Amino acid sequence: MEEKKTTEPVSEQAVMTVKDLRTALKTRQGILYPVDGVSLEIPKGKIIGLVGESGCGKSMMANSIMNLLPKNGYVAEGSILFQGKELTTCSKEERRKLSGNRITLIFQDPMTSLNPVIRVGKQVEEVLKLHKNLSKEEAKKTVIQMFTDMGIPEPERRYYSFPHELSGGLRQRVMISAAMICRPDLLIADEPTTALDVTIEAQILKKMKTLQKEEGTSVLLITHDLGVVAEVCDLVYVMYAGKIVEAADVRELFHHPRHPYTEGLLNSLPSRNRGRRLRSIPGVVPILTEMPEGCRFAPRCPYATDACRQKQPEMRQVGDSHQVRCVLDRELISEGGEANG
Amino acid sequence: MEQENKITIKEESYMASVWKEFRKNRSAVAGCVILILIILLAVGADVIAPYDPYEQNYVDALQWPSMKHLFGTDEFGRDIFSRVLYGARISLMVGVVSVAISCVCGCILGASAGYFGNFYDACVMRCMDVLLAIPSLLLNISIVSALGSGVFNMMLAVGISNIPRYCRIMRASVLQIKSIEYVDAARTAGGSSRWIITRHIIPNCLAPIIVQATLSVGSAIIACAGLSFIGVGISAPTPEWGAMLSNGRDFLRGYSYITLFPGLAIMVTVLALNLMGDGLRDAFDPKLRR
Amino acid sequence: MIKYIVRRLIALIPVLLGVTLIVFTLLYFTPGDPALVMLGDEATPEAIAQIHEELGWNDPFWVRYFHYVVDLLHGDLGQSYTNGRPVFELLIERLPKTITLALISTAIAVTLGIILGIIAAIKQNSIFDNLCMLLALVGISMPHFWQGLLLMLLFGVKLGWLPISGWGEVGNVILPSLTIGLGSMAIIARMTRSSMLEVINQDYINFAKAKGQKSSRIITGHELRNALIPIITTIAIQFGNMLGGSVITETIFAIPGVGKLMVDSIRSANYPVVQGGVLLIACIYCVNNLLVDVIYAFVDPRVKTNLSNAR
Repeated sequence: MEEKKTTEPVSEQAVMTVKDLRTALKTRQGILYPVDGVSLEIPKGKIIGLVGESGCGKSMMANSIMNLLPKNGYVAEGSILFQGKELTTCSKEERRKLSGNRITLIFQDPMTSLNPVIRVGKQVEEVLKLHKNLSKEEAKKTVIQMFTDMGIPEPERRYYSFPHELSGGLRQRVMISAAMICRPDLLIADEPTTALDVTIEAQILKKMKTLQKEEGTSVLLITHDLGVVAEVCDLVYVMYAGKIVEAADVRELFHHPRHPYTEGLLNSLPSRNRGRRLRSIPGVVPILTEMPEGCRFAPRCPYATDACRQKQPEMRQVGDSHQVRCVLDRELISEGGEANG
Repeated sequence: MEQENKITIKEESYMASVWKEFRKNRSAVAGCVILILIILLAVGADVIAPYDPYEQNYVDALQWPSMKHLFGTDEFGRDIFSRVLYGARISLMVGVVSVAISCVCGCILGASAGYFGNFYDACVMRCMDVLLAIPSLLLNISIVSALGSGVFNMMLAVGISNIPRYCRIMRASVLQIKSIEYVDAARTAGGSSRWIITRHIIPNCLAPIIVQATLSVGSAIIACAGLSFIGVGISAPTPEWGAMLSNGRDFLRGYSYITLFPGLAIMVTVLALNLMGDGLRDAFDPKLRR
Repeated sequence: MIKYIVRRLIALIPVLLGVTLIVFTLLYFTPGDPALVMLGDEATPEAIAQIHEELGWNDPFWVRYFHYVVDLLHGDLGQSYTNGRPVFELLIERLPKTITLALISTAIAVTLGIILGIIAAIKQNSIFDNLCMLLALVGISMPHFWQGLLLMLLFGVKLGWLPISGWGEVGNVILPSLTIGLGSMAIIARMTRSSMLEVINQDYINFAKAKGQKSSRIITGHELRNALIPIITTIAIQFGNMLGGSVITETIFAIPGVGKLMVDSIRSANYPVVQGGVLLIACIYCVNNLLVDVIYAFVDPRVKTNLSNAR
């Protein structure tokens, strides 16, 4: 286990602290851990990025926090502390009262996340009905006001629309309305723009950011897109194969990545590599049943040594607001040509 | 069975994976085993049956089940066990033949309708709508009473009333496959209509057809028994399960075993077929595979 | 919406015309001379010939079919050979019994089937689920006339709780409607279960959970609402099958409904009654199917949009 001081990053006041979270899935091949000892802290009013390739456990992480794990999944170890309340042990009823109200979630695919047979206005209103004591008219007015704030044209008419009558961008705006309408303390956005066009993506991100600033909401933005991270996040956690491999302030991370994986991700980003060939990281995320013994990135790492392959490295502090799970001591240069030879 | 062998040659890996999946499904395998047992009993009825199913013996009439008469005897002293065994022959034959009739006709109609489209398609589908508009039991009754009772007419009736099912499945599959590129490729390569239908379309429609066929052998057996039960199908002395049930009705008070065993036979046979059909459907459906 | 219904009603006309053609053709070729049925076995050849002439039976097939359809349009289904009463009257007299039976059976099948299906889906792979689904499969595999006989044996003969035949008292309804309903219940339970399982894994259920909705409300407000859409079709098909199946059930329990009338008429070669009966039930069946499609459009907004776009 890591020492106390190293797990405590940058922030003063945290809305949520996740410590050593292990999420288990019972399968035919035995018990697997898609989230394997993740610690992170979400400071008040900040946007935190959680970055990683698909299959690295990001969404499982969000589902663990929201109590949306599949039937065969459960939180095996660790704690999720939300405003001083331990979520892993508190009652179902208490958690139900928090979710949708204090902690909310925006889903990846707005096409499938809205119930096709219920009017979108009603679906947003459902949140108010559950958590706020409003009369019918007030609730409806609040929803329409929220739609207006979210930049949905003709909000009164849209209130009565069915999901299939709206475009993808509008649906995601509806989803965000539902997530923001109770003015939550923590918003978890699980790849909120992946399913959308690039132009709409920018609009939605901008909207989210404005709302977040106005309300002082903390956001955990889960994405595989470093471009999005650079645009909106304050702090970044990089996740690989169920573990956090690097955590840093967003500038720090982009300018001085320490972990070879982060470096690889940055190298595959077009905007940072103008005029040069993009490099992708060779290989794929190891599947859960075949986790390497030592550092999980070792099989794909260009710098891996025998030591890396034998022992799992610990998270260590490398700067004021910078931690990395890598034994390599030199600063990797993100522009990275030399390091690679 | 024969159909399955044919595909195995064509698409070995696919059929092998279906078979593997099917084998894992315990209830499906159980259904399969029961069905094989029933088929063996039906085929071997001549050897296994202790009595002649038609032989009347008034001395032994209305005997409750005993070691001498395993399932008892009916009012004419005929051994019910032997009659149930011979009944298996009739029921299985009736089920398979009627499904074969509807399957062949339905597939040809459906495939051609989907393939040629236009006016022909519209005509065929309207005819199917008409057949579907009459509840199948009523259609069966009308057909049988027009053609006269008897085993073949009954199979024909049940066969005809089930044609729309296959026609629809086949047409839908053909329409779906027609839009996929490789059929276009085959067409540009100069394949004739018949060649495209037999080589490309039919192998790809087989899965839903096989599943439907397995499940409807069961319902065909029930339908035929039903017809015999109300007295328009196979008539009295023939050891048909439905007719035997109908006969037992008069002896419900006191001699309930007469109705028990033929009904049980129908249920077990149909259950085996349903278990198998469900298993096949799950095995064929790639969505459910994991 | 109204346009859609009207269009569907118009599309029904050729189908029903087709039904009349089939029914007419089948009975046209049915062996046996109805004149004998009407006059009895000792009829003279002259009398038979006279009846043939009077009823137009010497006309060619198409002429007779034409007359038949024209009569139908006037609401005339012909007369019963055996007692000379108008077939229409005979059928209408008996229809309420058949419909009542089908409705009660549907009610039983739907309530129990949906409840069992939901529980099985929620407790997927539990003992309850496996038991339910096994019983449902057994229910589907049982011919319902045998089920009827078994029920009769148990509750009528052995226990003596319920009457085994006849019509008119409340007790008379129970066994027949169970007989018709149990099989449908099994089918509906299976359908509900698989439909629910499909819905349970949808993203929008997770969305509802993330909103903090109570699990009981998620089942009734979200899952069931979506899962019910395909079930409606199943229910309608079952209702249609019950009408058809009434032929057997009414025969077993000696209920004087349309089904029994038809079977009796087949036995006595009373063809106009059979013709009329098949036609009547086919009509109800078609209207039933149309009704389902309309309900469908109301329950599923996506279908409605498609309809209005298609216009």
